[in-house]
Amino acid sequence: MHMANELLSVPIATGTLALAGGGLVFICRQAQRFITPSRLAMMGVMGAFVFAAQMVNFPLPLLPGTSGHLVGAVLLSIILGPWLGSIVMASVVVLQCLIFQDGGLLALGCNLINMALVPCFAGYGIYRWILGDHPTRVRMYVAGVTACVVALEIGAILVPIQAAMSGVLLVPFHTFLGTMVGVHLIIGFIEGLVTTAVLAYLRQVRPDVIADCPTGQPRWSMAMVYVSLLVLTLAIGTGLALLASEKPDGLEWSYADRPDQPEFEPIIVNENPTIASVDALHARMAPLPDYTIRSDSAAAGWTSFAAVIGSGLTMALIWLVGWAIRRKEPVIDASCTG
Amino acid sequence: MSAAIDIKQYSYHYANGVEALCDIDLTIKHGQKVALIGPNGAGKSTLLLAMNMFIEGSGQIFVDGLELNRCNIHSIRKVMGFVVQDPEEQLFMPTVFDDVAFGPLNLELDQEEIIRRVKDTLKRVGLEGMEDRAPYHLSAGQKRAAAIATVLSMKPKIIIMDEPDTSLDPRSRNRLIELLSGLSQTLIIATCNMDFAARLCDHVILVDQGRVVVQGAAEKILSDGELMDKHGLEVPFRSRYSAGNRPIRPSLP
Amino acid sequence: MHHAQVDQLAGQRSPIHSLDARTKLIGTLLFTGFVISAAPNHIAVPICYAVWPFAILVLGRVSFRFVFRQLLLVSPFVLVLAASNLFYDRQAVPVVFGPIRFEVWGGLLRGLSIVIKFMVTMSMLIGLTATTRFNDLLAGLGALRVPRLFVMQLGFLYRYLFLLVNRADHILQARKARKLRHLGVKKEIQVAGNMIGALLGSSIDTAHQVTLSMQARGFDGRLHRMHRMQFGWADAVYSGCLVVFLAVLMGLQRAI
Ligand SMILES: Nc1ncnc2c1ncn2[C@@H]1O[C@H](COP(=O)(O)OP(=O)(O)OP(=O)(O)O)[C@@H](O)[C@H]1O
Ligand SMILES: [Mg+2]
Repeated sequence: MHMANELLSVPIATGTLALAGGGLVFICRQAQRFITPSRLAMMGVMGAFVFAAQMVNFPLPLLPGTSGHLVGAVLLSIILGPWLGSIVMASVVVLQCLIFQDGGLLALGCNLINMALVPCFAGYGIYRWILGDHPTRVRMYVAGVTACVVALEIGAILVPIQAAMSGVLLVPFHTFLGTMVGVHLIIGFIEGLVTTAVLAYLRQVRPDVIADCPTGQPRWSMAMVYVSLLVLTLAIGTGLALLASEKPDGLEWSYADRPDQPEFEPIIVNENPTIASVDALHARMAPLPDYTIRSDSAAAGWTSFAAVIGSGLTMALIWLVGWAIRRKEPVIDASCTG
Repeated sequence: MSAAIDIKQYSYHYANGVEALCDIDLTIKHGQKVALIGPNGAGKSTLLLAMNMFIEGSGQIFVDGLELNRCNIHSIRKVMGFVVQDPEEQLFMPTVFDDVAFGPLNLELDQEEIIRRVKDTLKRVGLEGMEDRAPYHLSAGQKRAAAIATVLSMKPKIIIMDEPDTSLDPRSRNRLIELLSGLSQTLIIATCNMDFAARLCDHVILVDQGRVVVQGAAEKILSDGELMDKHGLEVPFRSRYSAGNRPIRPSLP
Repeated sequence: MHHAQVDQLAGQRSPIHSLDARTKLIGTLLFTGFVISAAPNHIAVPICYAVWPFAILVLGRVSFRFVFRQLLLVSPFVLVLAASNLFYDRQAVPVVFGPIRFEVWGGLLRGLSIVIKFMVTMSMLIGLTATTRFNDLLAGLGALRVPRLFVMQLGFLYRYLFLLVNRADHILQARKARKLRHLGVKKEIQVAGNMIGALLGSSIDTAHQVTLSMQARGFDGRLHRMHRMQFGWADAVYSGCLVVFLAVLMGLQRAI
């Protein structure tokens, strides 16, 4: 699920963007050490492959009329290793945002974390962990499915957390979380099946590709796998606990009372200090402070009326200017081609 | 003066046991335009890979007097350009400019020199003003020209090409022949198209089943109908006209 | 295919196309930040923000049919979430809009606000990619100190997207031609797995050939880059106008 700009607040969006950017720079630095021409070429083509593979759809069981497709994060990190795999997946997410408008530009940080960085590393860790030192066919399949389910699930859990911390949506956290977890259980399972189908094919036809992660790459020791899984679980656990603890609806803290806006009626007073401080940060970082619903003074109403009419007129003017310029040359209507 | 390429007793077999090259011995002089001909699966592509040391077999290969080995391969690749068969795979950068500049950038030339070389090379291959085009926006003939430009911009002494004439219409093929015959570099071209070989090359090496069958002057080998038939090839169309000693219509076997 | 259309639009010429990619990229980020920081229950201000992407799209010669189709295509997730707001805030809220005065649910206001903001920021994003050639965007990212490896990766990805999507199309056509009925879930997934595997196999072969071609041109893993970017006066004008526009709307929001 691609996160949209509008479900995020500015501090959360910029914060995750900085986090994802920093992570990506770090990963690229690491990868630069063992990059070779063949790996570079492989990464580029693999990224395009993910898009092409996503075109191959198939009808979903239980849900007639719908079709599923590959996401690819786990498959990529099995083939390329988590470092290169996550770079490729990150490039896929960036391209999805820029060219296909899946997810907003400011939400890119969240999407990179949820769909590229976390699934690649988590998925790879789990895959390796289950595969162990003596990989058998059955183990490989179990590992593939489990890795996909868990990796996608973690990414999916992060979406409501980020949305809740932003406080734009009114949907209660547990409802959103439940839906995401449920939907992604199905998606993850399908993803796992397709991934293992591809692995099975490769095992038969091109065993060299999945033999092991490329040499020269920092291998994940088992200890590192455990530690990172632990850290991930802890991080998500604390996030969940903080958000869902005392009050089931504790997330609607954007409704919390504000000393600067006495007329703002608190619907739910939230005493959770973490949430309060995030809220304060939000208020400080946003270029404009939050306004109340109940600004029903006639003056404000007229101002917004005038503003909307003015905008409409401006657009009409721009259209005329554009038309005058365009009249000289034919315009390409891309929707008619391709 | 040393030969451009000198191969002595070279053999190679793939991991699956296919003996792709067997006791190859050949010499190519500087400035020659050489056609490497042979039926499908003869080992032409494999031989080209060996010349670039993308595969390592037994025997010796000398390029411009230097023996190929792991230490000097980088410096040898600077004098020897290699154009892979499919331009889709030769043109991997987002724009023609970036692609043609890729080689010179790796030579660590300075920026002005690179820009000058890119401009000159594109003019040479007839792609002036297409610097900012993406490779997928070029026609098959333009792609081929761009692929050659990517190597020409490195100013190699020797250029190696694998089947540069595939998927070209007659006009693009004529343009390609014009372009290639205008080059002063040593050219080694693997091809299955005898007509193409006859029109471009003065020297021919015939390989079959991993062995060099014969090498020598183009007219002599290409007009030898018996030899060509034996190796699943044909006498080029044009030389049939000019030789006058064979029927215009190929006789049925 | 959508990417081919974007590519075609981006290849046009217009005042917007000639701006530096960095200007447009940072402008879009800034703009998006301003739009989403408008109050969650405001409708008028987000509508006013639409003026900017509208201008970009008109001057950048992007057809509105294309924009609307794309907006519809990407909106379901946001629409569902926006609509869900209706269930959680049914308190009547008085709304004054010039001479009109009425009451609506708070959730409706919020949901509508999300949808409008979504349309506005997405149009802005389309206005960025449909007026900037991808390689210019890459050069811009490079100049903004995005790691070279990542920029190179994006370039490769974009270039081979065109090739592999065609290949996938052909494979899909082959499946369509031979598969005449529903095969059952297990078989379907197996077929998809085989198709993806075949696609993967040919991708790996392509990658292998690309490697040869890179190495033959002296590539040893070090990434070199050329700088070919320059800010012009047009960029200054664009940035100036954007700043004024954002400032005006900020003032407007304070006034409401
Ligand atoms: N990667 C490979 N692994 C194993 N065997 C291979 C491989 N590539 C080629 N071969 C085998 O080596 C032999 C020579 O192949 P090569 O590609 O050099 O022929 P060619 O003369 O270029 O043919 P064509 O005209 O079809 O391009 C063939 O028998 C082929 O099957
Ligand atoms: Mg060949």
